[in-house]
Amino acid sequence: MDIERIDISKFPLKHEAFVRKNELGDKLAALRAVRRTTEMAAKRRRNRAWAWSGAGFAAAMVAFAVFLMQTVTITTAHEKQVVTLPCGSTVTVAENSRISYKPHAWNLLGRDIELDGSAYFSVNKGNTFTVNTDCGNVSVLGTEFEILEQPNAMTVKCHDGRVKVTASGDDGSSVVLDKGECVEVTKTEVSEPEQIAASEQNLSEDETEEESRIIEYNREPLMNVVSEIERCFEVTVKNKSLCSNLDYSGVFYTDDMDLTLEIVFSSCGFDYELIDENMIELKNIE
Amino acid sequence: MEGVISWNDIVAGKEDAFRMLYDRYSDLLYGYGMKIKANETVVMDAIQSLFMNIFEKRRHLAAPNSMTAYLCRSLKNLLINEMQSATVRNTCELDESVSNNYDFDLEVDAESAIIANESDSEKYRVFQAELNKLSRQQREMLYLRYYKGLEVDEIAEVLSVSKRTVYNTTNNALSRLRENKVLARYFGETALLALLSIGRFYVFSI
Repeated sequence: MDIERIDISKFPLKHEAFVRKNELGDKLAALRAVRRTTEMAAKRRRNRAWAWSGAGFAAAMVAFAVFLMQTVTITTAHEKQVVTLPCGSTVTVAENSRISYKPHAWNLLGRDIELDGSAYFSVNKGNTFTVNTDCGNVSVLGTEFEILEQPNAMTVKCHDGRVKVTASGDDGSSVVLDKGECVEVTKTEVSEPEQIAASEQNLSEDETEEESRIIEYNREPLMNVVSEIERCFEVTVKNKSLCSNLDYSGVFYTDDMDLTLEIVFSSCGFDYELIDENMIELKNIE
Repeated sequence: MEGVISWNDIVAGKEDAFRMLYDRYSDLLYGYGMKIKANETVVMDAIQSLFMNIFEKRRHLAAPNSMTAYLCRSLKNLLINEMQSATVRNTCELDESVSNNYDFDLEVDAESAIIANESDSEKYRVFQAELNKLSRQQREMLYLRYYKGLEVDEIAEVLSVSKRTVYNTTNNALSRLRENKVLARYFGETALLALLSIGRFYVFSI
C-alpha cells in the first residue's frame, strides 16, 4: 500500500540548490581535524593522569610499609623501665637491656619483640607473643615470664601460664614451660625445665622485707629445697640422696640457717649434724 | 544506498565515512532546512552543528534506523531551538508556541522552469496558490515525500506522528490539489489511478 503517485516535483521549488555545499564540507573537515587533535591530547593527558595516580598509589604503599616497619627501641641504663605495648601487655626492662618492637604493625603483623638483655613480661591474651633473642625465641599466648640473658645463654622463667622456648640454632630444640618452671637456653639447646628457685618467685613484685625473708613451699621436691639451702647459706649438704622422692611443705627463713635446718629436716624425719662451717651431714633418725 | 556508509566507521571517527555522510545528505538537509527557516546562514550553521555533534558524540550514539529520518529530525530540532532562543533574545518573552511556529512555505520557482506559454505560467501560479491553501503539515509531508523521496515511516519519524496520520494527511492534500480544475487537467491521466488508490486506502482504514 502506498500513497498515490502524482509527480508534483515537476514544479521546481526555490532554495533547493545548496550552492555553498563544498565550502561547508571543507570547513567541517577542518573542524574535525582540530577536534581529533584535541581528543588525542586529552587522551594523552588521561593516560598521564593514570600514570601519575599509579605512581601516587605506589608511593602511598611505600609510605604505609615504612610506617608499619617503624621500630621503637627502648634502652635502659642503670634503672629498669616499664614499657606498655600497644596490646596493653607490659614489659619491665631490666637494667642495661634493650627491647625493640614495631608499634604500628603490632596488631596487624603479630606481636614480635626483640630483646637484648633481661626483661619481665606480662602478656595479655591475644595473638602469639614472641620474644626474639640471640639464643632463641620465646612465644606465648598470654602469661607472665622473665628472660635473663647471659653471654651465649639465657634463662627463661615462666611465672604464669605456659611459655614455649626455642633455641635459635638451625635445629634448635624447643621446650614448653609450665607455670613456675624455668630453663636455660644456649644457641643450640634447651635444658630440661626446672622449678624456679622459690626465693625468686614473684621477683618482680614489690615485696616487703618480711616476705622476702620468708619463703613458703608447697609440696616442693625436697631436693630443690636442699639446693636452695646450699645456695642460700653457702654450705654443702652430705647424703643429699636421702631426700629424693620426698616433698616439703613449709617455710624457709633465708636469714636464719639454724632455724631453717631445724624446720626443714625435722619435719621430713631427718637428723643432721653441722660438721663444720660449710658442711652439713644428713642422717636418718634412728 | 545507506548501507555503504558503515555506522561502525562513523563511531570509529573515520574521515572517509564522515565525508561520505556529508556528501550524501547535505543537499537534502539544506533544502529541508531552508523551508523551515529561509535563512542560508542559520541553516548552514545548523547543518554544521549537526555534523559536528555527530562527530563529537559518535561514541555515545546508537545506530539510527533510518539515517535520513534521523538527520532531518535532528536538523529540524536544531533550527527550532535556534528560532526559540532568537525569539527570546529579541522579544524578551517566552512564546511556547514558537516550536510550531514555522511556516514551511513552499515557493514554486517559476523562473528556473522553462515556461513555454501563458498556460504554463498560469499553471505555476495556480499550483503555488493551492500549496498556500494547504496546512503546514500537509506541505511538509508532500515536500518530504515527493521532493525528497522519504518513505512513509521516515516521514512519521521526522514529524513524530503515526504512519496512519502520514497516509491520511498526504492523501487529503493530493485530493485537494486534484480538485483544482487547472491542476487536474495538468495531472491528466494519473488522476484515475489516484482515485483508485484513494479507494484502496479507505478500505484499509475502515
